[in-house]
Amino acid sequence: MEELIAFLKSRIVDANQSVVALRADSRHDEAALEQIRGNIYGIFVSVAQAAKARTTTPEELRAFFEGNLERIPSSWAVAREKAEAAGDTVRVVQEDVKLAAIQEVRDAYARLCGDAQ
Amino acid sequence: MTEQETVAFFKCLADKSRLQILRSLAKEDLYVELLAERLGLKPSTVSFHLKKLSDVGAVTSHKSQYYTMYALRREAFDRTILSILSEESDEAALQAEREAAYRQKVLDSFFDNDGRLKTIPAQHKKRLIVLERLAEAFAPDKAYTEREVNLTIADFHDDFCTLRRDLVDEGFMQRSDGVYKRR
Repeated sequence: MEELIAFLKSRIVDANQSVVALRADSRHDEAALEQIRGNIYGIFVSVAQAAKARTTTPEELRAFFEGNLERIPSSWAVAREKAEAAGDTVRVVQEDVKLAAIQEVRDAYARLCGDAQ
Repeated sequence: MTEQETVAFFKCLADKSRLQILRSLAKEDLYVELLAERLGLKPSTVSFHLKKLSDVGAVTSHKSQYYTMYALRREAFDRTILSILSEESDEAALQAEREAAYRQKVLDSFFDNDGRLKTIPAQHKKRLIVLERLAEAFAPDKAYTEREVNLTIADFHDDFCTLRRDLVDEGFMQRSDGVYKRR
């Protein structure tokens, strides 16, 4: 879990650097999208830290983290579908950013925590 | 365009990526993928910006074979900034109302209940309001001698010399060959 937390924190740093660069380049909406991406990593740093603090066995830790990994983004795909149906491209792109970030978190979790936890 | 729409329009333009999209569309109609390739952006990001530009009426789209082509809505850019600034504000009535209320407040504080001027305002803006009120005591187009002007002003305040000069200097009255007229 420590490795995952470190990875997510490095992604937050990347996102924040992009936000600063995009804002400096007067690309404020793209900066806002990067901010959304960074926020998603931030949420899962908190989840991972909570998982460590609130659980005592590897099984509990895995259940806690995976439960949140499932629960938190459950509404995002639905929101994306609704936005697409409404022709709200702006919202679609925002939801896509969130979904891409959560996929990255899932992949990193599988890679870094996998069976070892 | 309403004032709100104008604000939204300029807010939308204040983004480098959108400005680059508009520059490309000023040259030719384009589809999302080609715009994305030219500008080095993801197609989804270009769609995001095009949606915002479309919402403020800066671009339009039309189907062309397999593609949705985007075009600059040229009429939205035909107007000059000066013409936009010269348009009547949506809040013109409200602004006039505020101005009238301020004017009345100044008049109430500088004139007593008998209509006498208590003191000559030091602040230029307030002084103009008071002078405008004094000028109303003179009939338009009627010629007044200096003595008549002094007597009329003296009904309001003892320092008729200062006020008479101010009325002329501030353009409320004109003086020619010793004859005064309200402007």
